Amino acid sequence: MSRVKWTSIPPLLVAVVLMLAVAGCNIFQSEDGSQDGGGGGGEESETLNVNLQADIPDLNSTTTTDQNSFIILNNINEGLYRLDENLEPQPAMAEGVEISDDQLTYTFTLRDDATWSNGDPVTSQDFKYAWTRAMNPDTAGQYAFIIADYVEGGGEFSAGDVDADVLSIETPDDKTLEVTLVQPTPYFLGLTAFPTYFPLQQEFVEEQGDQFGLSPDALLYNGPYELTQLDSANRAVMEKRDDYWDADNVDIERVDGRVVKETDTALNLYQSGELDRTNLTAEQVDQFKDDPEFSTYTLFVTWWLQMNFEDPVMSNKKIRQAIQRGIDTEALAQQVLNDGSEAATGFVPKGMAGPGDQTFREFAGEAGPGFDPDEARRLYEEGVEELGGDIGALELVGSDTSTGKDVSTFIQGQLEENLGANVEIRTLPFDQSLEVLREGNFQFVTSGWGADYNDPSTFLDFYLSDSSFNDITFSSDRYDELVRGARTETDEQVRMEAFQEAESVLVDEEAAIALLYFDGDSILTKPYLKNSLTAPYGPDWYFQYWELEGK
Amino acid sequence: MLKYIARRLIIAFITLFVIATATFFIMQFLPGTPFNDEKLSAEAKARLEAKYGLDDPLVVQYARYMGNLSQGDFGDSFYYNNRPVLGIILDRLPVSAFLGGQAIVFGLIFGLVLGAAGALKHNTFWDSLATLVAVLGISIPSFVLGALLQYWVGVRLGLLPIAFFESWAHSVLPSLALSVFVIAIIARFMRTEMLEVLSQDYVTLAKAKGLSQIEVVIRHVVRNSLIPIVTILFPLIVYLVTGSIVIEQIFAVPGIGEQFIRAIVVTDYFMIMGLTLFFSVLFVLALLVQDIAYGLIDPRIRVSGGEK
Repeated sequence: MSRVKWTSIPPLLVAVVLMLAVAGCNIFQSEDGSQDGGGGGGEESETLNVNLQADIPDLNSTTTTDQNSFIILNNINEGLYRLDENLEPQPAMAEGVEISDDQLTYTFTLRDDATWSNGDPVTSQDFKYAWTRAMNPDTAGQYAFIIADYVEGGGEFSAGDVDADVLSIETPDDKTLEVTLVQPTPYFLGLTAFPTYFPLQQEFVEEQGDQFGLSPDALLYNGPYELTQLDSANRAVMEKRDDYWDADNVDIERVDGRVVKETDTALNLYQSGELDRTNLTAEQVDQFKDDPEFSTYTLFVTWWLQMNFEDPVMSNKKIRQAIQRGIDTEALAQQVLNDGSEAATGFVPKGMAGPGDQTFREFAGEAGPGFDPDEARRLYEEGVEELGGDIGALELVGSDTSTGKDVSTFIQGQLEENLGANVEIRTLPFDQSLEVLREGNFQFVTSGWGADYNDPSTFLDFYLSDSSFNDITFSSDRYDELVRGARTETDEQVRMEAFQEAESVLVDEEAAIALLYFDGDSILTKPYLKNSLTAPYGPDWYFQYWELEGK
Repeated sequence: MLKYIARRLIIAFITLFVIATATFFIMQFLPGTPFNDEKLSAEAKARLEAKYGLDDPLVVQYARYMGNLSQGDFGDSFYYNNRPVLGIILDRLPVSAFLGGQAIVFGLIFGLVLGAAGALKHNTFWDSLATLVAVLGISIPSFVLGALLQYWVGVRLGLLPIAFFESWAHSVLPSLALSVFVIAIIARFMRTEMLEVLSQDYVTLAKAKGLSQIEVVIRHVVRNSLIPIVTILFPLIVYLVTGSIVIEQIFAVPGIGEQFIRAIVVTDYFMIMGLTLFFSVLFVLALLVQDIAYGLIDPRIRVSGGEK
């Protein structure tokens, strides 16, 4: 081999640079590969720029589970009903529904101008196909339960025991869909707005095969927007569909969803006008608290402490009552979290539907004893005495996220100060904490739960004695009776009273859980972006209601 | 030489096999499965695991994976809607490789010049400047620098885009942030090595035979100073082209670095396997190229290497 002259090194460098440059032409992800992207420009004035914050892994409505994919699907497809700005279900693909007197059979009539982006009408078959596919164990995803738990035959079919004939989903004609439920479900219309319930055209899905949902061309649209660009780690661009039946009421022409995971970067982009809305961290909140563009909202997400009845110490009621009273949740929400979260005043979150026009919390009032350090210490000392004097350190299982660690440390400090207890924190990643919980190998643990639908049962079902989530083995006949009874109760008032009492049994009488906070968000919104509501559960952005005025 | 490369390739292949096997079994110690959703009941989870063969004995799963691998099938991602793992890697890698490659180029240009300047102007202002830059470059983490560049150059001065990856201009700040470390290291090595070479007899001889200062430096000093740089350059290249999760997040760049962490967090088995193997291949190849490069710069190394 001949010697390579040193002089060849600079040209080599130049060659590498050139190679990079050539490669560069193909990897930059500007739109149409032509312009620079970025803010400004007259033509862009109709575009809403939002931060999706995480990737968009799966746009197959049958299998998807993550918030971002739900948001995109929610804006490009539509179910029988959709939620309005007050979270009330309103007719969407269906123009109306007839509900039988026993509240078990729903007969939907589809609207005539409901069409797919390929021009085909949306038919009742499309719904039957999608729902069956979502429950079929061969194709199902993790959200199968959200249909299978309600539609008659869904349980057996999704378990793989029988074939699809058992399902009570009938399509007498193209525009009529008849479905029978297992039990009366007052929130069923709201459920049909959930992406797993969205229609799918069988012919199209089968034609796409493995490719379905992977690119804008491999999706069919029946919602207010259609995807024009999709990069699952980076960007989703949507444009308004003029064929959408309610297109007249959709203001924003184009939505550019970017994926910015770093909140500081998002804030920089917001301040330079490249994003129209951004979420803030607790540190950033202090800086913007008094800004007119600042606002907060809470979600249907409750965080609380679960205390394990299998554990000898935690099975003592006085210890549990002491923990309930020993934590200043107001300080936790305002000082530690500082992100729009609020102290929890019940297990069922603030804003969730109650009887009539009331929310459940307005109707039921506060649950739990509230912060009372003196009483907490007294109860704790009595409890310790009942347990024979020395109970050692309490072990709290906490989450390994930065918020999770702050919360655990705060609880530790509060219980040590207010109870005189000795608390050790065991920090676990999410996957591992699920395992520890299922094995029942813990004393008490911080847990969070988000609503799947707008009804207290999405929370209260959690502690039924045979619930697979009831890792603390809470068991109360009265509680089971109330929550189960509510399932078949058709009188709304009676049903809500049952939930109210059940919550009180869980929190006040049995002191099974200690409430912490309702999760919230702090955001900045540009003044020209109007009506940009965030729904507190499910796919939370409905761009069709948002408006850009004079951007 | 060819025989040497062939032998190295065989060793590389065995290494990769061992890595694949070890990763496959170690991965089983990760808590949970790809279907770890708190809302998923135990029965539903068991059904999903059965569907993807995750309930088979480990050995069966291993044999199946290795069988597929031998046919070039890296499996499908659980997290990304059953998208093939290889496709995702090939999608994301060019972005990280571009940023990393550019950082190396920046690093080489500035690092070599800075190091050479420090050595030639030993104990002057230039030397102190080179030392200062090197110390700062090593001690300031790239994410701090990235955030500073983003705020000052992007937001305050508005000279370059704040984030995203849409044109060459978008790639400058992230590459710069990555390159400062490279500049620092290369400048240090270059300076130390050049100082040593400058004091060698053959340099004195070259001067004595009447060559100009520039000719001496370029023809004799620089070339002989490059050897240690080659040693650190190849690991650096692999390290940089495989992406930096921090820089990718700060500049909202969809690269491969972030993908690896995501795969582990969501227990995406085949994605973890695919990325580990892919990175291993790069690393093994880089070491091979490095050994060959030594030979090009200094024939003595090739000879002794070949005799082994």
